[in-house]
Order: sequence, then C-alpha cells, then structure tokens
Amino acid sequence: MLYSFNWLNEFISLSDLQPQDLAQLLNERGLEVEALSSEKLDHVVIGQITKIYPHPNADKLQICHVKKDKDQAPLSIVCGAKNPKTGDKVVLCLEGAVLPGNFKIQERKIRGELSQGILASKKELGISSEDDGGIFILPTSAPIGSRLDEYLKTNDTILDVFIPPNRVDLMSHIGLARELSSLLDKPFRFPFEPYHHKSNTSNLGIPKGQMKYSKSPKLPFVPYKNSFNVKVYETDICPYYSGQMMKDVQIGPSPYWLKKRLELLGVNSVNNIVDITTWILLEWGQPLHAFDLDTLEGGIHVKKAKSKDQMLALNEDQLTFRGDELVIRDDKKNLALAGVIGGKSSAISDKTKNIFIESAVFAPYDVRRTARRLGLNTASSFQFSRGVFPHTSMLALQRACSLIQQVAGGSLQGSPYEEGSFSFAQKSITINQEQLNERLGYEVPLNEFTDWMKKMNSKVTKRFSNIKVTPPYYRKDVNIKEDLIEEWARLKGYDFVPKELPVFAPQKSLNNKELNFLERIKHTVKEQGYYQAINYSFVDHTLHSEFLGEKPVADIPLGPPIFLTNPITQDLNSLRQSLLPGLFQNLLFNMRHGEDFGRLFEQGISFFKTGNRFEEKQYLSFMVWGQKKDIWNSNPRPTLFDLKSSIDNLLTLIQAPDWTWTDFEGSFPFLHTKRRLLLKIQGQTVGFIGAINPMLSDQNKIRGDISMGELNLSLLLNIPKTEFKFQKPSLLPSVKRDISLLIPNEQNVEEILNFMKSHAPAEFRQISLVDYYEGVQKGFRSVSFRFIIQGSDKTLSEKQISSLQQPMVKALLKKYPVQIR
Amino acid sequence: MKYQEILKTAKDELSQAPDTNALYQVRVRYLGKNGTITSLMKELKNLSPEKRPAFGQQINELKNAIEEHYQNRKKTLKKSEISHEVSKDFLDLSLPGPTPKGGAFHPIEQIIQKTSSIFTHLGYKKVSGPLIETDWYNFSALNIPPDHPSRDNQDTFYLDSEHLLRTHTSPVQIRSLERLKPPLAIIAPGAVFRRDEIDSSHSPHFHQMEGLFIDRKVSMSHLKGTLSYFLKELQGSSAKIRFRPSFFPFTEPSAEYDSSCFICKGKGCSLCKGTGWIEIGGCGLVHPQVLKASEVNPEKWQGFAFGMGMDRLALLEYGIPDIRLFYENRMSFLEQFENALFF
Repeated sequence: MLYSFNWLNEFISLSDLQPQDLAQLLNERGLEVEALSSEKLDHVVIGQITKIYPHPNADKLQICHVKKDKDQAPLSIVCGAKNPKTGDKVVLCLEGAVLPGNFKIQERKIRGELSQGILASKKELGISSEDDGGIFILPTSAPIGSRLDEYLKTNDTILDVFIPPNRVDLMSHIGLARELSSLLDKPFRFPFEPYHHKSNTSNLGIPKGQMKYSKSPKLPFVPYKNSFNVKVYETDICPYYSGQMMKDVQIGPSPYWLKKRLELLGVNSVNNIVDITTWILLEWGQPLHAFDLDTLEGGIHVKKAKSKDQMLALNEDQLTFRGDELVIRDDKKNLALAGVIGGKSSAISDKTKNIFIESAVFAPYDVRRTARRLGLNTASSFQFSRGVFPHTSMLALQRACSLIQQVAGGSLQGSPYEEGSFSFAQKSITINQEQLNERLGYEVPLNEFTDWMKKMNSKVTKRFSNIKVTPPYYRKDVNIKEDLIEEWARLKGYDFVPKELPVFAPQKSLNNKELNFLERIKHTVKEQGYYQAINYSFVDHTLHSEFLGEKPVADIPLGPPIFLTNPITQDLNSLRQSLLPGLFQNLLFNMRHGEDFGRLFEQGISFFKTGNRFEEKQYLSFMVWGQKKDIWNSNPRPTLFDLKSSIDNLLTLIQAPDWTWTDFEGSFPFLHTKRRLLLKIQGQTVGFIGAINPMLSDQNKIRGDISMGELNLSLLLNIPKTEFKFQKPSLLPSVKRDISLLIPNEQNVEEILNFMKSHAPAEFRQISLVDYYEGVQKGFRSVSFRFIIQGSDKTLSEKQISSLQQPMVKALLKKYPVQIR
Repeated sequence: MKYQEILKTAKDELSQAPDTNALYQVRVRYLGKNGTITSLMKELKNLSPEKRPAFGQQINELKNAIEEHYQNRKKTLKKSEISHEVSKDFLDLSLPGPTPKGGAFHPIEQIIQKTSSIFTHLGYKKVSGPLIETDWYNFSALNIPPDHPSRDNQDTFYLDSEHLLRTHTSPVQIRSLERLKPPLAIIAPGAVFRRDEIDSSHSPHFHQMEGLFIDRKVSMSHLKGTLSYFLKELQGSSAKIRFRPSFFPFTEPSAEYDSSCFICKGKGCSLCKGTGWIEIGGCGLVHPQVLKASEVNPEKWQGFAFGMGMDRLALLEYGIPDIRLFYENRMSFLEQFENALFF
C-alpha cells in the first residue's frame, strides 16, 4: 500500500526523520517497505520580477529581470506571456529543471538574447490541464527563493509498504500514523478536530493523553429531519451503516492539492466529490460511496439482491445477481453492489446537486466472495475484504462532509443517519516470564515487555508472575500468547535471539522407498549422459491431446483431462498426462536455436482422474536427437538404439527382473509405426520407446534423427527386484567361439539370441552379438554371435566344446530360416 | 673334446645374432628338433652302457649352458629392440579421447540436492507430498480459513471447489505431522504453483523446500541456529544470518531470514541492491492452530518451520538472470551445469 510521507507527518511529527529512516524503522518492525520514491521539483523556485522590457529582436517577446535572492543580481528571462507585471511573484525554472512531460529547462539564447530559464505557466507545471494563456502569478506573500514544491507542499516521498493481511488497522494513513506514534513514542495529532455527534470524543484506541487536536473549527452538524428513511435488512452482513445528505454541492474538478496527492498515491482524479471519497479511504481506511440524491426514488434499503435482477455498474458492466449479493436499493432499483461498486443510475455526474454519502461496514467474507465471483476488484472491495472498523466510520463520514464543503461547497442536510453497534472490548491474554523465555530462547526483560505493550496501547496488569495484556480494539490480530510473543519479537527485533542448534531426539525411520528409488533413477540416467529437463505441470490441452492421441500411454488410460478452473492463459489450461509433449516443445525450442544434439530426460509427475479421485504418477521420459561425432566413432547409430541401451542399462542397474522389448499395435500418433517398441516386465507394460513419426517432423519443420520414450515409474517401483546372488569366479580358462549366421530381414535378431540363450548348455557363460552388417546377400543380414565357454570343474577340450555347441545350432537351424555362413 | 668346441661356437653364434629372430634361429640349430643337441642325443644309443651316463650328463650340461646363453642374449636384444621401437614410436597424444557421455542435473535439482543434503546430514528426513492438494491441507489446516485475506497473497490454481494445486510446500507439514508423530525433523522439497504472470523473476510453476522440526521446548534460538548452520554450509563459514519480523498465518512468531550477500559478502553490491543482505525465505515457530489441526498437543510439543525458494536460490547461486531459462530446457543452458559446483 502506498503512503505519503507528508500525509503521515500531518498526524505525527516526522520532521526529525528522513523518509529512509522511516523506511528502515518500518522494515525492522515487520512492515516491509518495498519501494521508496521521491516526488521533487528541483531547480524550480519562486522569483520576483524587477523589470520588464521588450525583446530587441522579437515583437512578441519581452525580457524579464527576475530576482530569486535579495542580494544577488536578477536573472534575465525571455518570456512570451503578456500577463506578468513588475513586482509579480512568479515561478522561475532554472537550468536543470525537468517539468512534467520531460520538459528539460536549459539556458539558451532566444533571438540573440540570453534566457537563463523560463517563467512557467500552470499548465507547464502540471497544476492545470488547460492553458490560461499566461504565466503562473503567485500571491504576493510567496517567499522569494523558496522551492515551489515546498511552497505548494507537493514535495513528498511515497512509501510502498507491504501490509500483512492480519494488520487491517494499518491500511490507512491514520492507521499507520497511529502505529508510528506507538513505535516512535510520539503523540498522535489531528490537524482537524474530529467530531462525533453522539459522544463528542474521537476514539482511535489511543489513550487520551497521547492524542492532540488542532483548533480548527468544528463542523456544524445541524439537527434537521431526514427526508427519507434508511433501512438495513441484513444486519449480519451490514453491522453498521451511516450516511449524510448534502445539498447544493458544486461538482467540478478537484483543486490541485487534492488531485496531486491522489496522483502521488496512484489514483486518477475523477471529480471533487469522488476524489474526497478516495481521500477518506486513504486517510481512514473507510470506503465511502456518494449517491446522486435526486436520482433516488424513495428510501435506501440495504438488503439481498433479487435473483436475476440487474444493475449497470459504474464501469459499464451489466451485472446480473444471483440473489446472495448484498445491494443498496431504493424503492424501485438497485443503486450499488454493497462495498464493491456503485451503479451508473445513481452515480455522481456533472449535473449532480444534492448527494447522499454512505459510510458503512460490510462483512469481509461476503464482499470478498461477491467481488471475486464478478471479477470486480475495486479499492473498496479490497478494503472491505480485509476489514473496516465501524468505530471510525462516523468520524470518517464527518471528515468527508467537511472536506466536501471545502472543495465543493454545499450544506449539510439534517443530521447523519446511523444504525449499528460495535464494541471496544477486547479479550485479555495472560502470559508469563517462562513462556516468553522458552519461545524466544533468551531472558526477556519483563519491564521492557510491559512498557512496549503499553506503548502499543494495550492495557497491562501484573498479577504475581502473570502478565495480563488487553490489546486495543483495532488489534484483531492479537489473540493468543504466541501473538504477544510475536509482537514483542517484532518490536524488540530478532537480533537478540541467540543461535543454537537443537539436540535431536531420535526419530522413527521413514520408509522412503519411492523417494530413494526416484533419486537412484535420476542419478543413473544422468550418469548415462542425459540432461535433466524440468517442464511446467500444466499444458495446453488441445496441443497435448493432439500430440498424444487417444490411446493409452504405457497401459494407463489417459482418462478425462484435468482442467484448471482459472488458468493464466489457455496455453496453460490443463494438467499434463505425459511428460513427452513438454519434452517435445523443448525439442522444438532447441532446434529453433540450432541445437542439433540433445539428450533430455525429465522425471516428474503426470496427473490422472478416475471418478472423483486425482492420481499423481511418477514418470521418466526421454527426448533424444542427433549424435555427437568424434574421430573414434565414424559410424553413428540410430538414436533409438542409444535410448534402448540407456533403458536396458537403467533396468540392469535397478535390478529389474527380465524385460522384453516387443512390437505393438495401437496408435501413438507421435511415433514411427515401424520403429517403436513396448517395454514389458513380467507381462506388464511399463513403457515404450520409438522414433519420431516423420509426419510430426514434417509438420513442425524439423529434421534429424529423433527418438523418445516414456517409462511409468510408479509401476516400475512396485515390480520386485531380482535377487542378488554372488557367484565365485571360475579359475578355469575360458574359450571364445564365434558363429556367423545369415538371417532374413523379416526374422528379428533378438529372438535368435534369446533362443541361443535358452538352448545353450550351462558351460556357455555368455552369448553376445559381436558383428552385424547388411549387404552380404539381398534380404539377409550377416550377424555374428560370440560364445564365452568355460567348464565348471575341468578345462574343456576342443572336441567337448563342439559337441556342446552342435545340438543348439542344429535346433536353431531347424526352427529358424537362418544359414550358417 | 667336442663339448667345449660346440659350446664355444654356439656362444659365438648367439652373441653375434643381430636380433631376436636370428637369435631364435641359432637356438633352433642347437636346441631344436633337428638341432645339434638332438643329434648328440641320438649318438648316445651307440655308446656302451657304462659310458652313457657320463656322456648324457655332458649333453645335458651343454644344453643348459646354451639355453642360459640364449636367455641372457635374448634379454639384451629384447631390451634394445623395445628401446628402439619406443624411440621410433608415433602417436599424437593431442588427439581427444572419445567424447565424454556428459549428463547433468537441472540446476534446480542440483540446488534441491545441495540444500537437502545439508539438512539430511543434520538428521532431517526427506519426504514429499502431493501436488494436487485439498483446501484443508493447503489452507485451513495451516490456519488460513476460507475468508482469510492471506489467500489473496497466494493466487491459487483450482481444479474444482475442493482441489487445487498446492501454493506452497507447507501442506507437507500437516501430512507429516499426521503420519509421523513427534518428535520429528523433515524437509520436503518440491514443485508449487501460483497464478503469477510469467516474467524474469516469476513463474507459475516453481520449487520450494519446506523444513519442519517438532520437539519439546523449541525456541526461536533453535530456529536461528539451524538456519545459520544451513547458510554457513551453503555459503561458507563467513555467511551471516538476519531475521526480520514478518507475518505468516501458520507460524507465530514469524520472521523472514536473510543471508549476507552471496557475492559481496555484506559490503553491498548490485545483487543485494547495496543492502549487503539477500532474502532467502520465511520461517517461524509453528502456530498452535497448525499443531491442533494435525492432532498434536501444542502444550506438549512445539516446533519451527521454514521455507525457501529453490528457483530463487538457484538463480542466486549460479548468477542466472532470468527464471524463464530454467523451463526452456535448452541444451546449451543445461550442458553448463555438468561441472557446476556441487557437493
């Protein structure tokens, strides 16, 4: 929230503080100052004209001698305006000044005569939006040499303070000044005398002696009969309602001081009446609403809206009510959505003469809900959602009336209407020394504690070792002893808290099976040369489902998409059900930036919904493209085999039981129909790999050897591991034997290899592929297998080896259409 | 006698052999199948039985002597041959080996692992929680009732009236308290989601780490000691900590904690905007309402909780200017983290 240093200074003397000091104090007390900006008009001072004579070379110009210091020679300024006279107090803008609109003032020669700056008009200074044809002539009392911003009180520093949501009491200049009065131990002062027709005392929760009043005249509240009735039907939602009629106000633009201050606090000026309601909100934290009294038909009713009833709001939104909204109505129509926005029909316009000002309290929850549902986040709804104190509603209303009289004239019509009640009572909290020490970790000086509580306007009583603290009515955030501890810590600062590592009590062991498993997977994949990607969990549903198609991904039916009810944009509107679309976007991004090699993996969650249950499943996905060529590797492989071996490797390292890669049916629209494999373990599909569908490459204008794959880790996690069994290495020598086969293209090699493995005698310790090439004979591949053979208790002879190998080869030739080369 | 003659000639021939090949030929001539020694052996059977042992012994001695000379000569020749070969060797050692496999964790993952390990060494256990949360775990149980304005600060993605994407890792506090009774010390890193517009320092999907410590008589000084230890492990022993009063509904008292600046170490620089301090996260003593919501008696047990942003920490730690770079997953970005300093 934005605060004006000058405005705060009206309520508590800050003359001995720099804005930076104030910011530091607030920061130390838990009120973070997020920004600090100065509003200054340098090199613009008040001068007095000592002489005027015509410009020798220009008919329309004249030269003014302007004095800005009694003792120094006057400056010479060329001026085109006709209104200045000798002796006038004027605004002198010197070299270095920057006027609104980035108008930089420089010394320069105009038609041969030196001008040491300019004499500014109201428009040039931003004081008026219209050009009145002349320069700004100040009253004769204006002090020569003073800065204009000081004279007009427009030099200010704006503090952007983060107000925690529990400190509603600070959401106004008076509220923050009240806090500062406690923090700085300085009296709070009113630059005007607050008036309350009932008690005639103002109550901000500050003890009497600590508040000072100025001697400004009281606002005359004339007892006068209201000409219409106000009735509050929903006292739960509207616990307090007050209002005042005013006659014969003159709607018009706001005076400079009003406009300027609102502008500094980020609010655009509308007209004098609306600006005063804004002023009151910023000063008191009390939203007001002004109605055009002459548009009202009958009395004011505060009640629930009629279902399907409509209202054209001030912002031109046509609102349709549900029936649970609180509205302000007259006998015939809706006037305003309570606490949120006014209606167009009763709005203040240029023609308005008589007004009704409302100062009420509406329940936070209701305003919040209505504002959210209708998407109307106004300054008023924001304030009401946080909370408004009825204790000061009447004071704010009266202050508003007084200011309106000042800027728009008019007179009060009758006494203010008031309905509702509130209490200043607050629950007391008891705390003792031990509790303070135990939570803070050091000995808290009790006297200082009670002093601070008193400074914060709490009532404090001591009984034996117990301290009873009753916070002031506006501290709704102080309810339990922990709140008192926090309040102390905040006021005293945390630098007193010593540093101490706690001694650990032994904890029960956690079964972190899943986390450990995921960490192991991630490490293993990374060690195989993959780079970890992290993508958003939300995706563009259309793109996502276009990419995936409708078929199950690794045995998981996609199920209904899970949409966010309030996405930021449509391209992030649903939760992902596969990590591949995200990795594919990464691929496209990489390719656009000329990255022709990539090994990406992502380990993360996909989201599913069955019935009303949401499920989160762990996935591991890969996007692989290009090969790094080097001098040792002249014959790069298809990337799909890199991916396949990486997964084989991964499965070995996590001790997965035997797995198979198989062909499959079904459409994965992103995969090449002839180059894709399903990974199965114990009959269960746990993942797939494949080369990119060339159609997809073409659509996206990408080229290159691209493969991808995805594993369902939630399934893999629950598959039992192969048991580790140690085998003593044999001391006998081993023998290598190779066999080369011609295998037809339609016969897959893995089947041959598996056949050999299952038919080979126990002495054949290892069987592996050692050579593969195409082009020996059309339709065939030449494949060499190597056997590592080792006897179990004695060295095998050549003859024995042959007789071991024979039956297996015979069976192979019988079963498969292969030939020995 | 023939013996001395043969030995001498053999020695001469062995000594004159220019290389190991020639040497071997000499050996074959004397000791091979058809060599001198074999023919001498054949003569043995022509001798009278009483002469045979002595002659046999002589042949044996001769054979051993030749073999010994051969072996010695072979050693010498081999040595010079290898030396010669080595001296003539050519291999350009400036050539690179095969391209290393590479591979790297995402910088955010690295920060998660680095920070986690600091706490797990202290005895904290790593746990996780769901990303889709209910209103209860994300808000109400954390002392943020439905109409609480604190909800304004964390703009939330909703899935339906009851389910949402967690806006912080704090729900894991409740889940852990429910599952594991105190005392406990856990950390919970993971993804969180807020409806923030994307810019250089905001992402709607980012990562946090939550810490929770519950025991008897826990104080702010324990919290400060723990986080001070953490910052020193992360940034070196000169790292300093500062607590600033703050507000969170689920801790009371609450604080924000800052570290002395990673770059200037407190002197003031552009990273810390001249303050010497960098904001790391929020912390505080667990609010009694939070303990009650998890059915833990706040009169018996107290604790502290802390949180920190992993993305932010990674930005600071690696000097990365824009959070969006994390989610582009570009190879030339990720490859740089192969050798990022960690552990």
